[in-house]
Amino acid sequence: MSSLEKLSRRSFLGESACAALGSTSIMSTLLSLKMANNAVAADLPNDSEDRKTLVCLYFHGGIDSYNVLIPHDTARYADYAATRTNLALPRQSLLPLSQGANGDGQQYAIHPAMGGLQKLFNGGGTLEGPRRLSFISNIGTLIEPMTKSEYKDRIKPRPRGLFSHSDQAEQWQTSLPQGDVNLTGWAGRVADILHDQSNGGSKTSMSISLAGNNIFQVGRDTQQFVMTSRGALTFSKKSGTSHPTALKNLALRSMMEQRYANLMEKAFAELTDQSLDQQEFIQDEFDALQEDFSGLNFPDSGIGRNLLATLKTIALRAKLGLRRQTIFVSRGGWDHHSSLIQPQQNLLAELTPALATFQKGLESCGLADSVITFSASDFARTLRSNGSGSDHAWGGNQFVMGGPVAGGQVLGRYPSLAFDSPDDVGRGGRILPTTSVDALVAELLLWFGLEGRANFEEVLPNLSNFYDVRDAEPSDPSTLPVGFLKPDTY
Amino acid sequence: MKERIVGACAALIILGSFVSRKGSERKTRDWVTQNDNHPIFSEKPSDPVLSDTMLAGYAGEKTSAAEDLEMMARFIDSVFILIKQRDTADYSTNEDLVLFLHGSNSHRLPFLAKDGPALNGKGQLVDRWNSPLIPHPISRKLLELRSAGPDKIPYTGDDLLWPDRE
Repeated sequence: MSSLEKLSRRSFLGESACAALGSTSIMSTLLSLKMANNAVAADLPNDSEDRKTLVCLYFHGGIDSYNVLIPHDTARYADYAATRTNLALPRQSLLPLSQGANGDGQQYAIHPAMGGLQKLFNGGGTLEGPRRLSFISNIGTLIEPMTKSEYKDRIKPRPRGLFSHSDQAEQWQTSLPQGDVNLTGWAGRVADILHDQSNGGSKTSMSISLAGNNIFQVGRDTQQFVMTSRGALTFSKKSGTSHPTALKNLALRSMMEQRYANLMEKAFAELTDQSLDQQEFIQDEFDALQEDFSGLNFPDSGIGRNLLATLKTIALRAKLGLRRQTIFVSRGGWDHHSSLIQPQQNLLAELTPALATFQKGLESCGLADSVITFSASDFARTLRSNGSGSDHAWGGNQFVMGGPVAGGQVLGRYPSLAFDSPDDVGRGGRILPTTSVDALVAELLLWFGLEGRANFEEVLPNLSNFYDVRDAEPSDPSTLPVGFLKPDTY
Repeated sequence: MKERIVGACAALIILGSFVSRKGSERKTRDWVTQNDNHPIFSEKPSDPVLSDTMLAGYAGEKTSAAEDLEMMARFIDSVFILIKQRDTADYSTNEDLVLFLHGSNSHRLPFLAKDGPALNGKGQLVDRWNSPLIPHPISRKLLELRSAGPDKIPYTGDDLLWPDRE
């Protein structure tokens, strides 16, 4: 059997989808590859210790986060159980959380499949290990703070496209719930500002995606550099033709050699060729790091492989001359209309060990204090069961994790889970968010090094509706938009 | 399929003229109302609405379940073409979609008849088995519709979807 015949249809389609071998996508990818051209020669920043990475873990489909973070005291659990009926997890199955001093003082538990995250919240289970994870409750897309009556009476502007997948996914990633003519993501706008300032300009893109193209990292001048769990997207490969990407690379090189006749096109082809060479260099660096992480035993799952690649990419940031880096990772499959309990159990059981291993890897590499991972999703889901699943809703619970995070806290205001409460805008328990996406992003960016009110307004045009960045005191978390950062971490 | 598209276009043209006429009527009625306190519509039969045309034969003997769903989807799409200022929050559930089609929209225009085979006793949009249709907002431009199918249990193998994912 030839090497070509060994390729499964699934493998080939998967590779093709990742590489996006349409002509437009090729050009887009090549342009992002161009940014890697000077990666080797780039001067490293003077302060080589000042490196920070934001990792966005995006749950496509809308995670039912009211079955992730659950009230555990008798009275509030009773509300939860009464509202969720057959979607309620048994109280005795839940994993209790032990909040630290700055939490909201309430009792919570998490989904039974999330043992690894329980330890990161509680501090190793013994309260002696570091607390690395906190939850932000009832967070969602907002243009400005809004009450239920203001929502119902349409007194204040609502985010566009509420309860719709693509609109809400877009808004989490852009922080522009009112939309924009030329839509860009908040990480892309940050890169527009910080790339030159922090990364010295002409180096590899600070925006890395392990989940294909996204709006999150698209700026005016910035595109994401798309990678796979095996490394950079390849249009060239030195050895053989046994891999689908190698076949595509050969085709691309052949096309360049044959078609680009005039000088301008030749120059472009040469530039492209250089980019391919640089890509190969990045791939070699990526591969060379493999030995360092083999002992971590990342789970052999899609998210496990992607988080291992994320860890490698973070470890590579110094060699790429990056002081600031954003990484986008995603896991789909959370749109649980038809059935919630078992499918969510399966997904969380896959996700949790991968996340816990990722954080363990950061700790063992000495990178924990320079990385924050945060979760995001289209929306939460209705509290009411539609039979055996739940439907699209709004505000939900997300987590932040990392060394700079003051772990062991449930932040924000956890809503009442009773139907028709002041938090419920109707149709089966759709919860009005009380913490905005802007607040989360603003605190992440304070840590990331964004400075100046004008820059914050550029990245987060609605932020002033929620928070004034001039109020932020690094030594006092209570002055921060959400309050998850440890004192003096930025 | 071609006949349906032609039919949909014809219905839109009819509706366009209807909307236009409705606008001029409104001015006249306003004037009448200002000069005469008696309501002038109470004894008139209800105005024709788009569903009269586009949902004619819905769930009847001459259509299949798949054709019903397509008919409903094209009806909703036609309303969306006319109501540019709309938001998924206004039609993300069956109940909200019905309100939207009954006139809770930016034009304050009804498009769906108050009775007929498309509605059950609870005022929900239903399929031919009287099960509520399930709207699934994918984006502002795409509202997926699901019929629970003959077993009347949603999210099972006999469900019908528009647009069909196959």
